[in-house]
Formats: sequence, C-alpha cells, structure tokens
Amino acid sequence: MGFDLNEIDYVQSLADWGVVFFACFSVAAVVAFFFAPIAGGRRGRAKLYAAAGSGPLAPVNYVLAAAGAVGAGIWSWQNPEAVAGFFELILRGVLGRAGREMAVLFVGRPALAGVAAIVGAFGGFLLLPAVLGAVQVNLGRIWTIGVLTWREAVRKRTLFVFMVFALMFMFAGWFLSEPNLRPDALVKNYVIFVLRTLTWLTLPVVLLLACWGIPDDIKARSMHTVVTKPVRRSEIYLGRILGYTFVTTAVVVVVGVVGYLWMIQQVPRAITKGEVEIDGRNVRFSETLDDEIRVEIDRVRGEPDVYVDTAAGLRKDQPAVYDLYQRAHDKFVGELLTARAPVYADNLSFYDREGVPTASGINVGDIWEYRSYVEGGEGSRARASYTFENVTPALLVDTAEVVVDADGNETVERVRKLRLESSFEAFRTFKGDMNRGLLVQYHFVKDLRRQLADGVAGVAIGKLPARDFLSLRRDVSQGNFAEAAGQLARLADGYRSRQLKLNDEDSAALKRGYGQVAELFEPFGKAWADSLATAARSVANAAASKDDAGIAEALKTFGERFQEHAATLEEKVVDVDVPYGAFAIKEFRGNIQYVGRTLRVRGSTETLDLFDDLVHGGRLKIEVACLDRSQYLGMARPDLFIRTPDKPFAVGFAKALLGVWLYFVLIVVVGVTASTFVKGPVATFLLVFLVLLGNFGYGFLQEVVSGNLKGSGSIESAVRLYTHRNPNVELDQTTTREVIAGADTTIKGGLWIVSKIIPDLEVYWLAGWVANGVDVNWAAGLSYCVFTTLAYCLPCLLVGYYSLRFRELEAK
Amino acid sequence: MSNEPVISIRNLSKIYRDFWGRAKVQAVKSLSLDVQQGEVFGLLGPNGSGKTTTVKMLLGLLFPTDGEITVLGEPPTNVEKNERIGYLPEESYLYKFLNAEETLDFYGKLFKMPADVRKERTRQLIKDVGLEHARKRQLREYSKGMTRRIGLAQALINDPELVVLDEPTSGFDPMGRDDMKKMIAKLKDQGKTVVMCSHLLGDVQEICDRIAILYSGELKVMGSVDELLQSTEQTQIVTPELDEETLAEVKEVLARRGVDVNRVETPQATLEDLFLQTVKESRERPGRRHVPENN
Repeated sequence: MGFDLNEIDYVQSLADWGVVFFACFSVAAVVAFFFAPIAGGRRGRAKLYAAAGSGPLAPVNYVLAAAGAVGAGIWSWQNPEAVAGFFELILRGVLGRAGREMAVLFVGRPALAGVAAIVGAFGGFLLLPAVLGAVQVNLGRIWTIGVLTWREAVRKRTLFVFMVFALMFMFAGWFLSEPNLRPDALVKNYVIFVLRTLTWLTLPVVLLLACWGIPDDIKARSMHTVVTKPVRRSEIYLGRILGYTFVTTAVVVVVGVVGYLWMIQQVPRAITKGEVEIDGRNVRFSETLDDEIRVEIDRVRGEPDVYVDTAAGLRKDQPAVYDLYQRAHDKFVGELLTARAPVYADNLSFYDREGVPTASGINVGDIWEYRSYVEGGEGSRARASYTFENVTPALLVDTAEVVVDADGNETVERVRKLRLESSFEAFRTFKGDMNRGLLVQYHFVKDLRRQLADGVAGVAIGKLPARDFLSLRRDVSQGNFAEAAGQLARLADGYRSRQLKLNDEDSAALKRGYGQVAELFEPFGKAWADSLATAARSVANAAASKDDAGIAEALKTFGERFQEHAATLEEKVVDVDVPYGAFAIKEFRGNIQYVGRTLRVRGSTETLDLFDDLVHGGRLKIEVACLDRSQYLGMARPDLFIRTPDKPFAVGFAKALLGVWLYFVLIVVVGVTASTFVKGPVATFLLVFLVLLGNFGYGFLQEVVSGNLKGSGSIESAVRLYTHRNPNVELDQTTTREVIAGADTTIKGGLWIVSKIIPDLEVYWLAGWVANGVDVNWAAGLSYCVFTTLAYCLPCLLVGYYSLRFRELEAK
Repeated sequence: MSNEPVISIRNLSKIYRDFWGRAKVQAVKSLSLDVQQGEVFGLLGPNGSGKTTTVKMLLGLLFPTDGEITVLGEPPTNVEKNERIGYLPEESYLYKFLNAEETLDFYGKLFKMPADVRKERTRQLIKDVGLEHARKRQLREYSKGMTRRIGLAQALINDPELVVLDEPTSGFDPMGRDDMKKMIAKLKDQGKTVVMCSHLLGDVQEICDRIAILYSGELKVMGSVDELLQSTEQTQIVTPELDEETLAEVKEVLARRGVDVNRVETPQATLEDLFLQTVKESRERPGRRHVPENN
C-alpha cells in the first residue's frame, strides 16, 4: 500500500488528543522507570520500585492500568493510522526524526498498534506514582526560581526591548502605507511587519537569556548557594525555563496587543479605495488626488449613482451617501481585517472533454504542476469535481438581498446562503476578450446512480465476463434497476457455478465497492435503504474474508433486494445536475458567489433544496466547468472552498502570536538545555546555528540528504566549482573520484543525523495565514507548532535534567 | 543524642581532570576525619591545600574521586539533608539584583517556609547581622563586609543544625570579624555544629574547638586547639604589674629551686584589641581623643 504519513489526519477528535497525551506520558514513564534507578543509585531504585507497586495507591493503580490498557488496545485496534500518528510524535520526541520511519511500522497493522498501545497504557498507568516519586520536583520551588529569573530579566533591563518596539511602531506607518498598493497587500504588509519585528527583535533577547542564565549562575557561583539548599537541580533547570517563558510571554502578549491595536488604527486610515456590497448593492469608493471622495452606488437597473465631493461637503449635502460611504469603508476594512474560516473540499477529481473520469486534468506546460486544467467550450464536457464532506446548513452565512416589488420599490431582505470563494487561474490559448475573465460555471451534482454503478460494477471481479459488468454498470447508470437486479442474480449464479476463487486484488476491489454501496444507502435512513445497505455490507464482509460461497450467496441476496426495491430505487437514487449561473472570474483575486438554498432546475419551474436534494450523507459535489471555447481553467484543491462565517481578525492574529510564543518556548527549552552542559558562548553558537538552519535551511538540508540534488556531495561540488564543471557533466572515473564519493557519503551521513535533529522552524510562521485573511487552521497550522515544541521538550528535559544533575559546579 | 558524627569522611580523594580526562591535580589525598555534634571544627591550611574542595565535596557541589562522605548521616548528594545545613561560601555568591529582604525571602521560599515565619525570620536575621539600615538596597550597592553579613544571614535562614563557613571572617573589618566570632560562639552555645575553613589562624584559635591542618591535600595535624597548642616545657604566671623588689624576690625563689628565668616582660595588647577598644570608646564618648602630646 502506498503510504505517506503526511496524509494521515491523525488528530481527528478529542479522543485522539487524549491518547496522544497519554502516549506522551507513557513514554515519559517508561523512560523514568529505566533511567531514574541508574541516576538515583541504590536508594533511589528502592524508592522507585516501592512507589510503583506498594502503598495505598497501588490497587487503584493496577485497576487503572488494566482498564486503561484494555481501552487503549481496543481503540488502537480500530485506529491504527492514528496510533502511527501519535507514535510518530512520541518517537520523534525521543529518537528525533528517525522515529518517523519507525512509526510507519504501525500503519495498517492493527494488531501491532493494539499491542503497542496496551504495553504503553499499562506501563504509563502503572508507573504514575513511580514517576511522581522519581521526579519529586516541588512546584513551589520551581515557581520561586521562575520568579527570580523573571526579576533578574526585569532588573537587568531586558524589557527595554519594548522601547525598540515602541520606536518602530511610531514610525513604521510612514513606510508601510504606500498608496499605490492593493488594499489586501497593504494589510499583508502591516501584519507581516508586526509579527516579523516581534519575532526577530525578541529572538536575540530570548536566545541570549536562555543560553547565558545557568552558565552565568555557575560562573558567579550564585548557584552554589541555591544547590546547597534543599533544591533539586531539576528544579533549577525547570525554574529557569519557567522564568524565561514568563519573559517571553510578557513580550509576546504586550507587543502582540499593542501591535494589534496599532494595526486596527493604522489600516483604516491607509485604505483609500475599495468596493463592497452594502444591502445587496455594490458600492465603490475612492479618494481622489484633490482630497475628494468619489462614491459609486450600483442600481439594480441602469447606470450607477456617482457622487464626488469633499468629505465635509458630502456629509453636509448628502448625509445618506456619506453614511453609506462610511459603512462601505468600515465593511471593506472589516473584510480585509478578518479571519476567514474556509472549508476545503476533501477530494478533487477531473473529467476529460468526453466526460470520462480522470485522476487529473490537463498539464498546460507548467513545470510546477500545482493546478490541473480543464478545457472550456460548449463541446467540452471537461470539469473539475470538488467533493465536500460534512456539509450542513450550519455552514451558511447571513447575506442581504435587494428585492424589487411590482411597483419597482427596492427592499432588503436577510437571507442565509452558501458562500463559495474561488481563486482559479486562466490559461489562454488565444487572447480573447482581455477585459473579461474566463466564464466559469458551477454545477451542483448529485450522482447517486453513477456512484452506485461504480460500487456494484466498478471493477470486473474474478474471471466473470467483463461485458456482464459493463451492462450492469449501464443499467444502474441509466436507472434500469429491475434489469440490473437480473444482472446481479446472473453474476451470483455465475460466481457459484464456476466455483471462482477470489484473488487479493479482486477481494479488495469487491470489498471497497460494496462498502461504498452500503455507505450510499445508509443516509436515506429508511427500511428499504437499510436492507440494501445490510446486503451490500454482507457482500463486502464476505469479500474481505474471501468466503467464495458467502460471496455468491450475498450477491444473490443483494440482487433480490435490488429487485424488491427497484421502483423505490428508481425514484430515490437519482442523478441531478443543477448548473448555477455563470460568472467571469477575477484572476489572482477571490471570487465570491452566494448560493441560496433553493436552486432552480434549468429549463423547468422545478426547484431543489441545496441540502435536502443535493447533499447526500453530508456530501456535496460541485463541478466546475469553463465556458470559453479553447481556453483552459486551472484548479487545485484549495482553489474552491466554502467560506463559513468569518472569525474576528483578533482570533487569527492571536493564533499567529501563539505560534510565535511556541517558537520562543522551543528556543528557551533548547537554549537552557544546551547551557546545562556547555558554557554560554557555546550554547549561543549552538542555538544560532539551530535557528538559522531550522528557519532557512531546513528544506535545503532535507534535499541534500535525500540525494536528489544534482552535483552530489560537498567535496564533489567543491571540485566541480574549482574545475568549472557543471553538475550535468560526469566526472572522470578515477580513484580520486571514488575517494571523494566515499568521503561525501560520510559527510552526507553526518548531515542526515543533523537533518533529523534540527526542527523545522518554518512551521511556526503562521503570519501567512493571518496576512491573507485566513483563520489559522488547527490541524494544518497550529498543531504542527504545538507538537514540534512538545516533541523537542521531552528529550530536552531529559538531557537538561541529567546533565545538570551530574555536573560539578566548579566555575574554574 | 546519638554519638554518630555529624560529618564523617573516609579516605576522601579528589582529582581534578582536564577536558580529555587526564589528571591535572590531586586536590585532596586520602583524607579521613570526623566532626562531632556541637563542636566548632576548623579546617586550616595555606592556599591550595584542599580546604574549599573538601567543603564543596561535603556539600555535593563537587563529587569525590574516591572515598566516602556522610553528612548528617546522608550522602552529600541527598537533597533533603540540606534542610538542616547552612552554608556561607568563600565569597557571598548572591543575586546582586535583589535587596536584603528579597534575598532572605527567596532563600526562605526554597526551604518552603510559611510566609509569616519567613517574614519574621528575615526581620530578625537582618537585625542580627546589622543590616537594618540597608534592608531595601540591592546587593550590588553593598560593601564587601555588608555582603558577607547578608551571606551569613542567608546561611542561617533555616536555623540549621550544621553550619559550614568558608573563610567566614574574610572581607570583614575588625568589628565585623568580632561580630562574626560572636555569632559563631552563639551558634556553638545553641548546640549547633560549625565547620569553618580559614587561614586566619588567630580567629581559628579563638573560635575552634578542634582543628585539622591540610597541606597539599593531605591531613597533617588534627586535634583540639588546647591540646595542640599546649607547651609542656614552659610555665607562664600572669599577675598584676610587679615592682622591682617583688620581682627580685620571685627570681630568688626560682633560683633556689634551680629554675632559670628565660624572660620577664610586661605583656602587650594586640592591635586588634586596641582597635576594638578605641572603637568601643569612640561609640560611647564621641568627643574624646587619646593622642600623646609629643605626636
């Protein structure tokens, strides 16, 4: 099975979260169990094992251990991919990135995942008291040292960094509010400026504090007076981390809040032109060079109303227009300073110009194949098909609509609609009308017959004649369910009479196909559908267990049910294709379409409800076609999304700040850890190296160790540079070359280790989301920050604890 | 009260090594000694004799290369035993950005002392070490003597059973030294065990019950101060000042017994005594001067 861990959406639910933390805890417990006795000597060992298996907590402990282990085992059996996901997190934490490869072991192996979870669960619960006993840190003392660290930072004038921020915020507006910039680019400038200055100005402060705190303490011997008190060295270590985290938090919160307030003050002043819909009407506004305001208000019919005047004049002579201008300005700014919450399609597939499903569209020659293209024109049936899952009316947004009555009076009504936002790309084979974007049309599609046909006859199984499957497919697609039932009965007979044996591939295909059929029927929630779903499930189960007699029997039963409910199937299992308007796309910008719940079927007065008639089992299919002949429309999965009610800009910004904060926490943890075993300058050097490589060289390093870069290894590249030979020219096959290749392999091995240790610090840069007006997604954005920090914290804490514990505090 | 020694050192050795693990210097060689409860024990020796290294090993700051140490019945790495120990380092290594109150409060918190107890103890100790006037000043503004005083206060914050003092009188003016000596005497009266290392022999002689002299990491002499300093070959008689006649009679009596008189002299006070006396009188009678006329 082709498998990529990146594809696993392993953090799906609260239950998964619980297991992730539980697994972290288990690993910590196991590590403590094996390391603490070594560290604690004879006395520590005795104390540890006594804590694990005796005392008043012991019975509760064993019960919890058993219950937890059974629960985790069952859960893991059901979710091997999720187990792989969180084991990856844990293994990465303990073993660096090498753990990622190990995690793949669990994928698709429920037994292994289950056993691993049982062992982890039992170990974790059993060792709970042991871990507490072994660590024995006192939170009060950690807090005391944390507060001391904070006080030290404050009294050493560290927080003077705020002055630098204040100065920058005072004058940055001069350089950021360039009037010729597009409004969205202007907002982007402000957001990126605030987050970038916060990151890069605070980083040196945090880095130096973290790297020099403990070494300074040892050098000045102030640590001598602390460790001779009843203070564990781990408490000093954790206290230092806590204290620097206080400092970091203070800087991030204060600068974040001030930066946010500054932005929402500056941006409205900097926006001088825009276009927005107010009460269903388009309103355009701009400031002219003569300091006048130009306001254009579209009418439902006829030319737009245009008003040009100074602000004062407009307020005096046209108060209603001025009010509308103000509302338009505020709304426009509000739309820029927002956090859109997109729901992306789960799947994107294509149909070629003949209407045949294909894996991708046309490649128009881009080397970077981000988008796939469909051909336009009336003769083309090419479409891109976006499938959205879990679509419910909760995704609708409030909109205003102008309604004109018989007398021509316009009134505004509030309507809830589905907001679709797209950003497609055009590829023109001829110039065409350059003043207009390509014409695009959405089709809302419910293709139950096609899905059913794919399910029951998608693949010809066994050695049965392919033509039987083709005719079955045709009958189902065309809604001839009675004939299809007959075909199914014949297939079942054929299967039995020929005593066919199912191979692995056919077994999987049959299981998948009938599994889909069962899923197709389940949402109907009626008795007829349930009986068909059950019958389909039986076929899938029999296929899974390769029970040949069972398959024939189940197929026969399914055919009988099909026959029995043929009339109902004809009525309920339908293909619907509702084309929705046509619009010219604005390239490189968001196109927003509001789709009402009620859709009119073309060429008839019949109307359909979007959710009742077109969404089946929470699944909505939207197919996109290009209407311009011989022009191509390029689409990628993120290019079309349902834009649910926006979240406040502050929410998105706060999440980006959280990313920055987690970044600093990682720096603090790694810096303090490094300073427990090397002196300040060396720790600083290490951290600077880590930050530079993690921020700017991570991708390159991965490419180097993957061996995909041309020119091979470092020494060979140096030789090529010196001898002026480009990477495409093979070097002469000499002994020297062999030696160089050998040395390069060794260097690459070293780099491989470095690449597994260095964190990918780019994941913390969430400003891009906020700057583009999108809410930071938890699964695709913030969770990476949280897990990267957590994954590095665990080994760092172990290293820090042990290196400080066994360090002689001699400053000489 | 058990007879178990408060500190027990057996065959203790410490070798400092360089980066590559090669032996650089052997600071302590096979040292064995016991310190009993309630005594003031002095570790003496010239610079580099291994005094501070020994103290640091006692406190778990350094790890022995060989040998065994128990402090209050526990190995030095045991953290809990530190509840009963007070330590004044060679120089007061304190956080200079804190003031006196904050310093004592910080160390009190490390002992998990309740807030009210901590507050009262801080107030009392600041008074005892004579820093009431500077309680709110940051330590970076303190003189060396003041820093030593607050260092002593932090060592006593937990009312320890064992007090380890590294060069306790260094950095003090004679008044401070006197105060320190009184403080140590007070600790002894309270039944606490004091271990101090110093190379100021006068102080040690005055304060310590027993001493050990180290040289090049080796124990050379150990015993009670009185025993070690006692001279059995000479006898000294101290009386009020005698006139010439009485003196002649005493000499005559001694001569009759066949005893030669080596030396007859009027004893001189030490400079320290004179200094202390002068400062004391100056405090009591601020206007008075005592300067001979021919000066």
